Amino acid sequence: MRRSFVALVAALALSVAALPASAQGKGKAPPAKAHKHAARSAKYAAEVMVLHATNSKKGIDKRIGDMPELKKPPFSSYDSYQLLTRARLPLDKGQAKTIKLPNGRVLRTKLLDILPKDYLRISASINQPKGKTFLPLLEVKAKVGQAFIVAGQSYKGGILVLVIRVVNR
Amino acid sequence: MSAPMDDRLMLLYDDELGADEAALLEQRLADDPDSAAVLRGLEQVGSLLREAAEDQGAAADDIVIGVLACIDAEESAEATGSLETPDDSGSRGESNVTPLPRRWRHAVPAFAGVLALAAAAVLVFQSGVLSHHPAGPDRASTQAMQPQQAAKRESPALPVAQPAVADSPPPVAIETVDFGSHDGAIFMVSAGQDSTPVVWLTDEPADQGGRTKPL
Repeated sequence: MRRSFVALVAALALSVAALPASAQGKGKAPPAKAHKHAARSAKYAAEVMVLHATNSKKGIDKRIGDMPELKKPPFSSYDSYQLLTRARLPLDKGQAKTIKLPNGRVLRTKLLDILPKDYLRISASINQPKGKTFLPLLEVKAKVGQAFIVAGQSYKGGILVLVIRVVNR
Repeated sequence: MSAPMDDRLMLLYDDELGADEAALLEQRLADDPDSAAVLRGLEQVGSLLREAAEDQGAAADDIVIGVLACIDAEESAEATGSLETPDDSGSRGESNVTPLPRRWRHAVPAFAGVLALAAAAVLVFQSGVLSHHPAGPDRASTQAMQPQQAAKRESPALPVAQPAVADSPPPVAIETVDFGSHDGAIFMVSAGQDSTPVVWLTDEPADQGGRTKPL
């Protein structure tokens, strides 16, 4: 009887030891895993280029780099593009980052999700102080290295073109 | 016309009424054009069904008749104490064929008969369905076809479609846009081999703002 009891206790101990760590923790993420997740989200940033499009016959600012989009309609209706600002906004999950635009509005970006295969889901919005939100919400799923453009705001005889690219930090 | 009249017309059509009752009913039909029309309809439907059965079920009839003939032959052979077929007559002693147990002798032809009837029913059903749709399968079956099958049917000259390969997601995609109170548009601009999504907003207020879901 006693040997049976000892064997039963030993079997229980072995089965508990064999349980996966997640089952033993009852849903609590191990600290190492949380740290790894934070490290992953800290890898990325949103590179923002603020361009001023005008018809001032100055051509395309060389600092902009190669952007064939600017030579295609509707961007080709402007012959001059000047780089006003270039900034990198770190993409940390749950933490919005902002940059002030030349027209006084504020661009706000936030990392929503880190997806497989180097895809991120980010949100962007453009607010104006003491006024209505200009662009309340924009959600984009983008692969690292890919850009999207937000354009059309009037500014000093032209428009603002925001080129937002997800990059590794 | 009342239901009992319908029943009596059916009995008359099936020759199941007595001679006196049939004569009375036929006299009555002379003054009852509605009932006479019903009887004529029954006769027309019956003749159509017979023609269809003759066209489509001849083979099945032959099978059934053959099976029944075998059963009759077997029963008569059992009654006379012999079981011979043209093949084994005269060579029974040399045959390697072991006769079936007695209890199986009725079951095998009966099972064959059931199979033959089922096959005949399938043939008749299929030919009936196709004869109603000479131009092709009905809409439901067309919808149920796989895309490759549908494409093959519509353009037989095309090569057989290769198995579908899952498209890789676009490198960047606008999932949701809320333009708020301004006019806006979403479009793609070519950038070499890829395209770049553009969200274009104007400063002019829109008549009504809108939230746009994924492209």
